Amino acid sequence: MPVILSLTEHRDEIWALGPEGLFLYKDGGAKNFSSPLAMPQPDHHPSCCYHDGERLLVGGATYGVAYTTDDGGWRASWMDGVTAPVVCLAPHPHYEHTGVLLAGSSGGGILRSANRGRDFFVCNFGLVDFDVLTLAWAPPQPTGDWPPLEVVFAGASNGIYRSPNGGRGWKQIADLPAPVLSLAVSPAFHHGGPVLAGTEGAGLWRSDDGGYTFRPIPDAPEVINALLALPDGWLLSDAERIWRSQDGNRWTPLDLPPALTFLRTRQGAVLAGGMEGVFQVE
Amino acid sequence: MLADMVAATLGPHRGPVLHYEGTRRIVEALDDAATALRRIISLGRPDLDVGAMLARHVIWRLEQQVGDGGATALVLMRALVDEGARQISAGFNAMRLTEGMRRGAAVAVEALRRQSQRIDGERNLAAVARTIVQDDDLAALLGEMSYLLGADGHIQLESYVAPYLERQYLGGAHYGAEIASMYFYTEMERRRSVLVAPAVALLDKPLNEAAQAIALLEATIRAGRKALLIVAPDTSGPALNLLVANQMQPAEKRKVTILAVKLRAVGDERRFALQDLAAITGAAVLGEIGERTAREARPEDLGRAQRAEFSEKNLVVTMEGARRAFIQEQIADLSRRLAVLPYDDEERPVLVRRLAALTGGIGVLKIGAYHQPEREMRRAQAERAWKVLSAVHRGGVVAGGGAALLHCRHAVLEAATRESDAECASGMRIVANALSAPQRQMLCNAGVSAPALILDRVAEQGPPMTYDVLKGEIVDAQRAGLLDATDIVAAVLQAAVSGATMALSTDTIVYHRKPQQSFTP
Repeated sequence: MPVILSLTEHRDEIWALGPEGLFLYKDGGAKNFSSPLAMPQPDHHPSCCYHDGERLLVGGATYGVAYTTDDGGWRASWMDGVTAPVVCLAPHPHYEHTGVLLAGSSGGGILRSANRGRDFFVCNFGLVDFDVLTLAWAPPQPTGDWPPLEVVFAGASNGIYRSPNGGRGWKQIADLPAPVLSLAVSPAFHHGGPVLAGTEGAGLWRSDDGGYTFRPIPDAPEVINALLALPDGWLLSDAERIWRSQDGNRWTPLDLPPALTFLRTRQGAVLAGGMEGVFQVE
Repeated sequence: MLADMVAATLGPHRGPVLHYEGTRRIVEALDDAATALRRIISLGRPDLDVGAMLARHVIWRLEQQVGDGGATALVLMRALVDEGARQISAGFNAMRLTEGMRRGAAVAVEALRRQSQRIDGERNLAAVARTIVQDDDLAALLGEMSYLLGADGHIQLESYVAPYLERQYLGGAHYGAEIASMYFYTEMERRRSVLVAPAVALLDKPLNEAAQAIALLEATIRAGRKALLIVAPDTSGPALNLLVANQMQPAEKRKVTILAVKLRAVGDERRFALQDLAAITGAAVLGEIGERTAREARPEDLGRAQRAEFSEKNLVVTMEGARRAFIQEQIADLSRRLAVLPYDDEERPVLVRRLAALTGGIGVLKIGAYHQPEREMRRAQAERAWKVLSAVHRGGVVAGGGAALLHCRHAVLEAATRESDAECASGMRIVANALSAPQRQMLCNAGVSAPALILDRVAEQGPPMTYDVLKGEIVDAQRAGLLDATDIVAAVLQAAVSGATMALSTDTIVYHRKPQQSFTP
């Protein structure tokens, strides 16, 4: 089974991407995750993907982000001079209306697109470290709240950054001793819900004040490759297995292989991608 | 008279002071006391003029020092002078009375500092901005920009002739520059050049010999870089020909991509720009200042940047993350110098720009309105709010709406009871009673029927409670977002007491019919 680094869904299809290529699971993988369809990919070493409903966008190519065209080919996005590989893509919570997509790159910082990934512009204001490994948007703010906020978090090799304005500017809020590999924001973020950050060697960190300060969580795994916020709890994966928690503080291991990425589908199913391909987390 | 005029600008039910200059037929909408007072040159009577000019001078100094609080200070000053003059008429010693007022102010400032709370986060900062600009959208942007840029952050204000409000963040160090040749554009259709991870060569002498260019190119290759940014006073002659010939090679054959620019700044400004570029890139300046000339350039003379971009006569250099640790001393030095400069000092914008270059960038706030008076008023409000937000970062916040001063009243009265000198104690009590004047004025401006009753209830509940005149209830100031900068409230109190003691202790006035011209009040 192929190693999977990134998962995205479109209608009843699951797209999975890893160093071995781009794969498609029909019927949402409900019937069979053991026989993916290998699909044409834009370049070597793709690292992340996102299907926006019309096109598939893939990051990691030497020319930045590539997206599918109507004739079945690939076209490169304009990357504002950045040649560093894009390692994560994060769509705005209201992507259908705003068309805003953030891309984190390894060495080039953060790029922002406001036209569904066709053109990206560098948005590194406030960044000290340009190795961005993960991005996570907070859920949309309740209508009528003031001031209007579009909170995004970025995990870099030296800590966590917070943006109150949809990625236009950033502020470093935590200087951590290890790279931040994964971030997850509670669906109840605007009502005091926490933010979790998983690191490569410094464990799990938590914020309960809207992401302004982070503190370490004791007794959590040291290396955290993937995190997912669910309406009723959290999922985490280290190098050995997947863990589950109700409150983000106490974690219990599940009898499942480790994951490198999680995806919660529109139907509410949780999929995991890892060294053993794609599987469902029950 | 002046206090009556600017008192109307206090609180959320305030209105601007309209200034009409008959000869030029210009109407100005002024909503800050300092500018409104600055428009008054004479009240027509020498005895009134002296008092007016004293008030004008006190408020203008306050504006220079902290950027806001003029109307509050004048209302406080009126209360202090009214009561002080009454007691002096009743036979109190003016010098002992004013000494008591000064002691009372010191006690009140201490009490203020005890109430002060540190805040961070765009929500609280926007709430502070809203109390000044009275515009939710503008306040939200100011709060966001202040959160991202911090206490020493710099914003540029741009005006537009139609309703418009937007912000932009310009990362990196920005310098006005000219490109040496159009062949250095890496994106010709966009007329811009982007270098990723370039080596940086800084020259304080023109680059015009081929040998100089060759030395720089060789040093770049030996440094393991594939791009070179050259900042020189001039790039011309054989050096330019050689660099252009290199640039015109196909991209796959080219070993070094080049961008050569000339800074537009001259004199000291250019010297500082080179100094700052050297700090953020780690480059040595080649030429007269440095140890070596461009001909002798070595790899270690070249600096490094994360990115260099030239477009629209603007050079942007983004420093590498690791470099930040090496420039903390320069940042601290500039911050120290900036902290002691008045807000209207000529050197201030230069220092702020330099600090922005070292700390990572500036913000641009774009404000527009159809009419010039409205445009100018919004711009002035934004400037004032920005100064207040800087003060908030440094000194924290207290309950707004004049409540923080009211909450100091108890401490001053207690100190007065401990004071052995009766006249001094009386001066302290004058200060204690005057502390309720700003909130009383706001309640009057809002048309509240029984202000004394509300003042008593707010004082009873203590900090951080205040009265929300829009909702008509007593609220927690932090939760309701009704906040004032501690440093500004303290400066207001000190300025008011200083002005009042000066007015009360003055015996003789020398009135010049034709005073010496001055640009400052």
